[in-house]
Order: sequence, then structure tokens, then C-alpha cells
Amino acid sequence: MSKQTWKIVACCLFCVLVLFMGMSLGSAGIRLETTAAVLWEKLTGAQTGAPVDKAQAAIVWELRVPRVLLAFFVGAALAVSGVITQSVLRNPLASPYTMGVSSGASLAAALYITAGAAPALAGRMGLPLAGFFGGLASILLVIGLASAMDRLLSVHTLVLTGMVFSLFISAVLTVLLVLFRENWQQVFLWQMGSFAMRSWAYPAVLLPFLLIGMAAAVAFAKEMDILAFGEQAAMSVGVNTVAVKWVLLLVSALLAGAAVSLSGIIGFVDLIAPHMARRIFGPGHRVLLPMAALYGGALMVLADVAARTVLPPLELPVGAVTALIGAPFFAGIFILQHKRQRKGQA
Amino acid sequence: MIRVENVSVDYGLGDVVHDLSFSVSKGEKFCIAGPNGSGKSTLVQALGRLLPYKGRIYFEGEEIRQIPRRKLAASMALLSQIPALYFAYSVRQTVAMGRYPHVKGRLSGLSRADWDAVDACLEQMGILDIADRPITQISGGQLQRTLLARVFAQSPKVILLDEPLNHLDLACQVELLEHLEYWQKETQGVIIAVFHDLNLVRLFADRVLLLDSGRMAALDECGKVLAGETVNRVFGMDVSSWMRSALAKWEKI
Repeated sequence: MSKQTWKIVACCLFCVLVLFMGMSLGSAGIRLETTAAVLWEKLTGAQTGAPVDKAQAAIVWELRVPRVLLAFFVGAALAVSGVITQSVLRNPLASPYTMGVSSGASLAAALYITAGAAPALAGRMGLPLAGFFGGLASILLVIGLASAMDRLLSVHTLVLTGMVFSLFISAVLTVLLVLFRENWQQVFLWQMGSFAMRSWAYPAVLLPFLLIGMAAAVAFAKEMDILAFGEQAAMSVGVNTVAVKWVLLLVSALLAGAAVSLSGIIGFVDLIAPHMARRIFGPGHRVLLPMAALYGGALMVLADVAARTVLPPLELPVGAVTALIGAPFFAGIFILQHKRQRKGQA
Repeated sequence: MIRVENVSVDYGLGDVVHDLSFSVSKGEKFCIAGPNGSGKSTLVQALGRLLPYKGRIYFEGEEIRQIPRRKLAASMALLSQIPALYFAYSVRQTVAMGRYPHVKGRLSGLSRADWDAVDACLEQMGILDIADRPITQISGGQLQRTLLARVFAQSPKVILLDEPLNHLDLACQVELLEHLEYWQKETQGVIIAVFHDLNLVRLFADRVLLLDSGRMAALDECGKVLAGETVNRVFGMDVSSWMRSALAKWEKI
């Protein structure tokens, strides 16, 4: 096997390990064997022989497994969305949040919360639905506005439109929260992101988005590679840049919108996972996309484990954990890179 | 091979290129010259269908807007100034992207023959030994050689050059020009080039289109355009005297 294949296998094993760890660790002390036995029993239908406490089995299967899977899927979706945005905007620091997904989703969620019980029709999925359409609507507006100003959808136009739009929506959100102070806490907590109390329905809803989004992104892997050299260069190699950008930004919006709507705004995974995957597997998108997804999933599960185990019985919002770890991590990477570059030039 | 009819380009503030008509035939090295802001780059970008234009541009008898971008890229390639790069593709990966217009199928990779073509281009440009290095860690000269190898990998009939030699040292400029001339001789292809430096124009071009504020000031053989009065008027200085005095200083060394 080639070196690259070994790295891919190692990455997959790492993910399995992290998933298992996420399912085993938690405030209720459940032994590793018990988790393994419950999983084995549920997945194969065969008894392991080991006696398993019913309550513990329920904790593992009804609480931990869906929670860990949701965290993994959200991390993967954000990472893929990050890879796409970074490719389209030709900037390793770009994020789906740059394009206004997060602020749009927040505003819609806040509107839903302040509107109170009225839209309870949609049931438990009401809030996620609001967030999803908010995020999607805002990115469509951003692309639409950018397109009206500049038919070629150049990077500068997109970034500027996204940023201005995000700031504007955030301001609207602030005004809304001042007017409806009683909902402030709820909106704030939603924004911070969490995987607590999520049933099986959540990962089940997200999985199709993730799979379809991923397939669509991989189908455009070659174009994403070529876009790294600039729009004119990409066009002259034969890429229909405007159409490709529309498709990719929509896919990225669907992924980020679906993820954010089910978990809240969780930052940094969309930056760090692609960055790590790029370092290990190189920038070629055909391999990068699935690997970034695996890393993003694993990182998110780890962050969630930290969120619920660091300060028991308190649970930290996972968005705070990713930012607390992510920001210094990122700063570190950049300081190291600058040092190395300076050494290279000397 | 290329016929331009009444082409104008505007960015919304009046024409940058105004009503140009000319044609370029097979095996020709054609230069577009003119001072800053005369519309050289805009024109060459229009020829590559990289921006919207009015009028018509025919490639082998077909209006280029009627040709799907990917099909056009199989016969026409562009090399511009060195771009800013943020992602560390290897030299070989970069050159392989030039095969994009020739590879059918969304998911299919390069065939054996495609990879052979890529390696041939790497070898031709003398960068086979750095083929696995990341493009973010090679010199500007090596990068521009890589990008020219990618242009060759497209196996085009026409190469458009948009000031590709800017920011390169003299040795690199000479080397790239030699590679281009060799390609042109071997394939009888067309090169349409924009160079800022009139020395490069003099060295390279068979014919020159001189632009003045987007309008055609002269179109003739290289020597005739550069020696005429028009070039002095367009550049607002006595071009050939200046060049000669510079050369005289070289001869004194």
C-alpha cells in the first residue's frame, strides 16, 4: 500500500477510536465493556453473554450514541463546508460563517424563539428548521447581491458582501434582543451550540444532507483544485467558474445550514479540520474532502467530550470549547509558519 | 485562425477597448503593445473569453462564445502574471490540471496517456526534478515554468500571454521566451502576447498591434510599428532614440 493509503487507514482508525471514546466517557460512569456490549448487541442483535444493566444500556443507546453521532456529523458537515468555502474564496481562513450562514441562522432562530409558542406546529424540529432556512436564505441573499454587483462573482465581492451582510444581520439581531430581553438567554445558549438532549432524530436528519453534500463536493473536486489558481486561470483551463461557484456555495450553505440548525453556531472546526487534513493529505480535493470530514467529525466528538466532562456536573457549550481550544491552536500554527518562512528566506 | 470583428469592451465607464478588428493567422507571433491603460490586457482577456465584450471573435470560424468553455480550453490557453497561491499543490499536480479540458467524466482521473503528457511537459520545461515539491515553496521563475508547463499540457493551438514575464529576472525571461518560441516552431501554433517591455516586443513579435486608449494606432510588422512616428506619439516620447541611447551605454561597458 502507498504511504497515502496508510495515512487514510490510520485516520479512519483514529475516528473509530474517538467515536468509541465519545460513547464511553460521560458523567454516568459506564465501563468500556458495557458500552462495547451494548453496541455489539444493538448492531448485530447477538447477545454477548455479559450481563448489561438496562438503565446503563439506555444511557448508552438512547443518549450517548445519538449525541456522539450528531457531533460527528455536524463536525464533518462543517469541515466539508469549510473546505468548499476556502476553495471558492481562495483563502485558507475563509469559513461558511464568512458568507453569513451563522448570522442568518441566528437571526431566524432568535425570531422563532421570540415569537414564542406560535410556530410550535413544527414540533421539536421547529427551531432547527427556522435556523436552516435562515442560514440558507442569508447565503442565497449574499450570492444574489454579489452577483448583482459583479456577474463574475469574484472573490473580493463575495467576501465583502458576506461580511457586510453578516454585520448587518448581527445588528438586527442585537436590536431584536434588546426589544425582547426575556429571550436573551435562550438565544445566547442556542448560539453557543450544544449537542445535549438530542435524540436519534437529529443525526438521522443530518445524515442525508451530509452524504449528498459530500457527494456533490467530491464531484467538483477537480474544479476546486483549479480554482486555487485564480478565476481567470480557472476559466482559461476550461472551468465554468460562475456556475461552479454557485453550485459549490449552495452545497456549502446546505451543509453548514443543516449543521448549524441542529447544533447551534460552533466555530473553528470548519477551519482547523481542513487545515489539518491539508497538511497530512495535501491540498488535492478528491482526498481532502473526505479526510477533512473525518477529522472534523472526530474533532467535534472530542470537543463535545471535553464540554461534558471537564467541569462536571456543569456542561460547557461546545462552541465555547472549540473556540477556547481552536483560537490558540490556530494562532500557534500561524506563528510557527511565519517563523519557518522567515527561516526559509534568510 | 483568429478573427476579431468590431470588438469593444467596457467596464461600465466607457470603452476600454474600442471597435477593434484584425486577424491573426496560423504560426504567427502577435504582440499587443501600448502604454499603461491602453487596453492591452483587456483585449487579450476578451480574446480568451475571460470577460464580456461586444462584437465578434472567431476561432477557426466559430464565435468563441458559442464554444463551451471546456472545449475552448482544449485549443486555447492563457499564461498571466504569477498569481498569489495559498494551497500547496505539487508541481506535478499543478501541471496535471492542464489536462482538465481533455479528461471527460466528472469523477474520472487522468489516464496513463495524460500522465505521460504531463511528464513530457515537466521534462520539456526542465522541472521534472522538482515535480513533487509544493508550488508554495519554489521560486518565482520555477513557478512560472510550472505554469507554462501547464499551458503546454493543455496542448493548445493558441497561447495567450498576459504579461507573464513581470517580476521575473532577465535569465528567467529569456528562458521562458525560448520555450515559447520553440513551442511555436514545433506546433505552428499562434501566440498572442501582451508585454509591457518594448524590448520584449521587438525580440518576440512578428506583427504588432499598437493600442492608444483602446483604439488601434498601428498594426503592422514589428519593425515598422516600432520605428514609426506613431509609437512616439502614443508613448509621448522618442522611443527609438531612447532605446538606442540605452544600447550605446551598454556598448561602452
